[in-house]
Amino acid sequence: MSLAGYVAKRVAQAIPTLFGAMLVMFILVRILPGDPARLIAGPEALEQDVERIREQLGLNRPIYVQFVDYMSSILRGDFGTSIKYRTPVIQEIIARLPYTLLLAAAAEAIAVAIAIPLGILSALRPRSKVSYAVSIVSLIGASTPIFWIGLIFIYIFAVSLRILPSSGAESPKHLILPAVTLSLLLMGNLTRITRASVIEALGSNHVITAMSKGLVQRVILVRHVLRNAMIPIVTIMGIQIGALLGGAVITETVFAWPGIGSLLVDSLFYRDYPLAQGIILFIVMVFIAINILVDVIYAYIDPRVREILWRGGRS
Amino acid sequence: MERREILKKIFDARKKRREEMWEALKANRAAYVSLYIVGALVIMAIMGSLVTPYNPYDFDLSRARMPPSISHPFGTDELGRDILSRILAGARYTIGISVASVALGVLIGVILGLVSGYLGGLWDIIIQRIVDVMLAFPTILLAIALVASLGQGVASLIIAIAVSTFPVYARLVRGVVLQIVSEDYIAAAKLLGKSSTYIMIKHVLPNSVSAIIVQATYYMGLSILLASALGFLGLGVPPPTPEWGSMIGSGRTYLFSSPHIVVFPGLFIMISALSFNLLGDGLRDALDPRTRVLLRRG
Repeated sequence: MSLAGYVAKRVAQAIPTLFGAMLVMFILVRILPGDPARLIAGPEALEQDVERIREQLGLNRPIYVQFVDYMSSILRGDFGTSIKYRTPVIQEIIARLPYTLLLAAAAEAIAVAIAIPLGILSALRPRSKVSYAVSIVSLIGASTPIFWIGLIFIYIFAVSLRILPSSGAESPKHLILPAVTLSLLLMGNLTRITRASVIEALGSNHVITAMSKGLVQRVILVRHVLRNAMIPIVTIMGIQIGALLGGAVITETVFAWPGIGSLLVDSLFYRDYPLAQGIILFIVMVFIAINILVDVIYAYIDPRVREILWRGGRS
Repeated sequence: MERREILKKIFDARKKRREEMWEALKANRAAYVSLYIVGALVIMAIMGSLVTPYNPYDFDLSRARMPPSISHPFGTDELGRDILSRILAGARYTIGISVASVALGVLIGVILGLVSGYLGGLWDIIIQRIVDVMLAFPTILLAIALVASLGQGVASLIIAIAVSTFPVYARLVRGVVLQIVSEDYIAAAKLLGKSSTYIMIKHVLPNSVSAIIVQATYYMGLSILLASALGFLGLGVPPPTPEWGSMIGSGRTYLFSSPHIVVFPGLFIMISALSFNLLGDGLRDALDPRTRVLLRRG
């Protein structure tokens, strides 16, 4: 199977999941407290106005018709209209999306730049102080609430030292604290997995052979160890995208970073449910798409996987 | 007579295994210490509200935002409430919600995993589709969506966290089931005409228990973080309940002048999550026979 064929197949596999995610959101919105028509109309609306809105929204039609409608509009990119802003939800999402992407990319870059070298280092010197420190730091990183560590960072760097801004997104400087905070969420696991997979690769037969052949250590490390260790590392990075997107919601709220995460939390306070469900569904779609991408990269870097997958070995 | 001897042998072997596991856990100092911290947290969750030096709900604006002192070791919050008292009383919420949601999540996940792995066929396909869909939501987003539609409160928080985490157990249990379902003793049990339910409970479940315990311990840490994050966002237990995350959420406005309001609840969240994670590591090593052998050799 060609690469294009493989991509097409993965996309096809994702369709039922996407369908299910839409169904879940649809059900959740239906059991929301309060009548959506009344919410839109406002508390002082007349009964006939509420009725008119209900008709406009199609809320008086059978539930399955509503679901089909809902699905088809989402597939056309129509996520409904925001109650607060009175604009299409997708428009609000697109306006805020670049901030979230920037934050997520910066956090991922910081996490990779620190966690992978640290993981390798502590794998190469398993009983050293560095290794010990790495495991403690990564464990604490995995156990610390990031909203709390974000607030601590604000106190240290914005309140006490006054070297970084505490909130907003006016300059590149504003990105530093939120990106570092969000990267902490990824770093612990990434370091641990890097360490474990490098240790495993170091013990494999072909690395031992390479060592006994007297190859230069750097060559062994790059050509044999890291290449093999990359596979679990890429996998965990794919899995972490969910944490990254979820963590962005919290981080953006802490630092008033104007991405879709803080928009989501705001929309819940305004009871702007069309906006809230639009954002959640949008993030899920992004998550599914990135997972497909990770699978493709995964297949690309591992010839064995490539062989099996592209021939259609996976049912 | 012979039967009794066999049974005795089995019991002895089990006892030996338990002792070995306990020894392995004790050998891991971090995990052993965590076990005591977890114990202390559980006691705090049960009894904490009985030993508070002040009433955790009584506010007194004249004493608002006092820094830590002898009479208020952790200071007072924006409404003059004693933070130590609120943390003690709040353990019930943060720890209790996590225990309940992990228990509920394990229950749903184990049942679905057993059915999916053991019965297979259409059941497996349907359940795996559901799990796929649930896993397509980043955990905290699903929890946010669920809390928003179920309304705020302890019960909906528990349901939200449980529903957001059960797919992992379902996957886990299914994996174990598929691994052992081809073993001879399962075939023997089938030949003896035992029912599926009997085989699942008597043979399959015990084999999954250690993996479930390890996962559940890790998920205690995760649930504590999740519950407090929802509390911080203002989506958890509504005020004035002293849930640790919401204490941070309401105190953050005063971060610039009174950081202690934010610092202490966060420390408790961190210590709790950390102990469960360390305990999870220790249990994983102790329950996994492969690492046990390694430990003995080393």
